[in-house]
Amino acid sequence: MQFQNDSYRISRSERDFLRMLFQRSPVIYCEFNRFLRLSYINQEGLSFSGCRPEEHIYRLADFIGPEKSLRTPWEEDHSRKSFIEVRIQSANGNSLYLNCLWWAIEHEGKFDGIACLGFDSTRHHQMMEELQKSNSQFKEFAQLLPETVFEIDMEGNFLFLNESSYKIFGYTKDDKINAFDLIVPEDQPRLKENIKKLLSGEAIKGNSYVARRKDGSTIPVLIYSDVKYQDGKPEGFRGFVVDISAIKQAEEALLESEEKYRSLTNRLPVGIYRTSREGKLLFANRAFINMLGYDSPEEIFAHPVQDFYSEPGEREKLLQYHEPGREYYQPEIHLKRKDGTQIIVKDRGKVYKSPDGQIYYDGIIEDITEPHQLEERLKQAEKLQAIGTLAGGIAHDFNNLILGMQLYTEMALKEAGNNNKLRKNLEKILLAQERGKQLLQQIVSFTNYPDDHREDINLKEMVSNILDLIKDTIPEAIDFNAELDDCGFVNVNPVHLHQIIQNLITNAIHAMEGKGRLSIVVRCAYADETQVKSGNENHPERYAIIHVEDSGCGISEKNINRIFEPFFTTKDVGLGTGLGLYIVHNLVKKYNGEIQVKSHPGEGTIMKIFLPLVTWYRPGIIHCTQSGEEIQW
Amino acid sequence: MKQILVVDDEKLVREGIQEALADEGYAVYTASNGNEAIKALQVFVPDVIITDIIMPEADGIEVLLHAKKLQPKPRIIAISGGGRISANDHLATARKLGADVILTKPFSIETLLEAIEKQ
Repeated sequence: MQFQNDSYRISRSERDFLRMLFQRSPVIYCEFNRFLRLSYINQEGLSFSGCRPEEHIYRLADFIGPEKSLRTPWEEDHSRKSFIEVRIQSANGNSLYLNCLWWAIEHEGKFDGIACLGFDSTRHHQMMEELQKSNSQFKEFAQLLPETVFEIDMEGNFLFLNESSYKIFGYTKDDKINAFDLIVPEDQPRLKENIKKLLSGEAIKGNSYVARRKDGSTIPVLIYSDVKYQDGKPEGFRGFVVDISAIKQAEEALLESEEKYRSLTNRLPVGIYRTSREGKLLFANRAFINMLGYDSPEEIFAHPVQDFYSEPGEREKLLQYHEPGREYYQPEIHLKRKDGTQIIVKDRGKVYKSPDGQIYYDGIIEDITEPHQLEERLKQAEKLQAIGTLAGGIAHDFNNLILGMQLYTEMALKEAGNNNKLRKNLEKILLAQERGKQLLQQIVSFTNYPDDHREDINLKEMVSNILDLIKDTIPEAIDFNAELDDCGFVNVNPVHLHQIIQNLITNAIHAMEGKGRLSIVVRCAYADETQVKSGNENHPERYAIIHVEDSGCGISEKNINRIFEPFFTTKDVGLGTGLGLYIVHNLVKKYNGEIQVKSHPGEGTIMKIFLPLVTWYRPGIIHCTQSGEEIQW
Repeated sequence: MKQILVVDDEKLVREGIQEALADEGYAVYTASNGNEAIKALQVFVPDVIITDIIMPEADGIEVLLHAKKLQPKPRIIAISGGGRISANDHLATARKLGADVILTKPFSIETLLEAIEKQ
C-alpha cells in the first residue's frame, strides 16, 4: 500500500505544506499527535477555541465513528469517512465541535497523528442535540395525552401514534391501519376536501368527523392537524384527534334542555324578558312579542324598550328606584302596542349585575288590560249603584222639594205682572228646577232599568214619533234634517230607544252651540258594515243604523276614548251629567248592538248606532222613504 | 165650586197645591197622611182627590182603595215623586187600582189643572 497513491495519508512534509497553506486562512486547521493530543492549531482555530496558544492542551475527546477508524485508516480504508465531526475538550471542560476533512499523518510507515481542516459545528451540534431532546420530550408528552396524537405520511400510513390511540380505537400495534380508513365513508368527501384545503395553505380549525373503531362502533371526533414539510415539500400530516362523545352528549342534553325551557317559556301566557340598563331588549318570549303586537322576534328586537312605554321617559322614571340585586314590582304600567293601542301590564322582576358589571333586568309582564277594564267598570257600576241607591232614597223627597219650588215659583210668576226683572229671575228658578229634575230622572232611570220589557218596534215609526216630541227643543238656527228609511223592526224597550235618540240629539245640539247642521238618518246595513264579526248568532246579518251627524265642535283625540265613561263631561260644571253617552253605550250593548264614533275637532261628529233587526223587508218589495219617494229593495 | 181633597205628607207640596188651586177658585181641603184622609172622607165626598202614594201610616193606595167605594165617585189623581223604585212604577200600580190620572212629581200648575178638569 503506497501513501502517495492514497489521498487520505500524508507525509510530514505534506503536513507542513498544509500547515503553511492554512496558517492564516479563514478555515480551522489543526493537528493531533499520535496520542491524539492537539499539537498545532492555526489562527482561525485559536479564535474558535477562545484560548491563548500556551493553553492549547486540547485533546481529541470524541468523534463520530470509532476511534479505531482514526488510528488505522491505512489498514481498513473502506471504513473510513472523509468528513468527521470531532469534539474537542478544553482544560476548562468546554466542548467544542468541529466538522472536518481529515488525513492521517504517516512517518516511517507508522501512524504519526492526524491533520484536520474544517469549520465550527458547535452550534449546529447543540441544535441537533436540542432537537433530539425535544423530539423525545414531545413523544413522551404525546404518550401521556389521553387523546390520539398522530403523524402520518401522505398515504395515511402512521409514522407515530401514541398509546391512548390504541385504547380509543381498539387496535393493537400489530394491526396494520390506514389513517384515512378510520373515518366513516359518509365523511370521506369532506375529509378529502379539507386535506386539499390544508395543502393549499388554508388555515383550518378543528373539523368534526365520525370515526370508526375496530369493533365497528363509531365515535364523534374533532381532528386538528397540520401539514408536515420536508425541504419545502409536504411529506405528511401531524395532529391530534379529540374524542368528543362526552361533549356531544352534553351538547345534545343542553340543546334538549334549552329546547325544553324555550318551549316552556314560549307556551307561558306571561311575557318574559331581559333588557339592558340602556334599554336593549336581549330576550323576549312569544307571549311578550304577541302582547306588544309584533310579528317576529327580529321586529321587536329592533326597538329599544323605551318605545313600548305609553309615556316618554316613563322607563327612566321607574328605573331610578331599581338597584342591582333587588326585586321590583310595578302593579300597573301602560304600554303601547305596535298599532298604537294601549295595554296595561303588571311588571315583576329582578335587577341583575353580571360579573363584568353589566346591569340586566329580568322580568315577567302580565297583561291586565281586561281585568283592569272590568275592575274599572265594576267600580263605575258600584259607584252608579251607590248613587242610584242614594238617588232612589232621596228621589221622593227631592221631587217633593222641586214640586214645591215649582208651584210657588209659578204662583209668584202670576203675581209678578209686568215686573219683567222679577219675571226673568223667576223663570231662571224654573229652569234650574227643570235641570235638577232631569238629572234626578237620568240617575234614577239608569239604576232602574226595567229589563224585562221588550217589544218589536218599527224603527222608522218610532224614531219619527220621538223626533216629533223633541223637535221643539232644537234651536231654530240649526238646520235639522231627518231621513228615515223603513228598514224593519228592532226588539227593544221603547223607553230605551227614546233615551238613545234623545241623548244623541241633545249632545249634538250642545256641541253646535245653537247653530249648524244636524241630521239623523235611519237605514238598513249588513253585518260587515258594523264591523261586528258575522256568523255569531248574537250578531244577526242585518242591522239598522241610526246615524246622527252634527257640524259642532267635535271631540278631541284625547277625549274620544273617554266619552262612554260615566260622569265624563267636557261641559261646564252643572251643565252636563256625564251620563248621556254612558247610558246610550250601555243600552246599545244590551241589545247586542254597536256604537261607532267619528269626529274631527272643529268640523263635527258622526255617531252611528247599529241595532240588530229582528225582521226586515225582503228585496223586491217597494217601500216609501220619509220624503215619499218609492224605492226598490 | 169644586171641592178638592189634597193628601200629601210633605207640607210644602200640600200647601203649595192648596194655594195654587185656591187661587184658581177651588175649595181645597188637606190631609197630611192616609189615615187623616180616610177620616175626612167619612165626613164628606170631594169632587177630586189628589193623593201622594208614599206616605207614613196609611199610604196613597189605601186612600185610593177607600175612595173607590165612595158614592158619588170622586175623580182620583195619584201623584208620586218615586222612592226606592221609580215613581212610574208606583203610579202604574195606582192606575191599575183605579186612579183616573197619574202625575209624576214635579209637575206644573197647568198640568194639574188639566188633570182636574179633564173628563
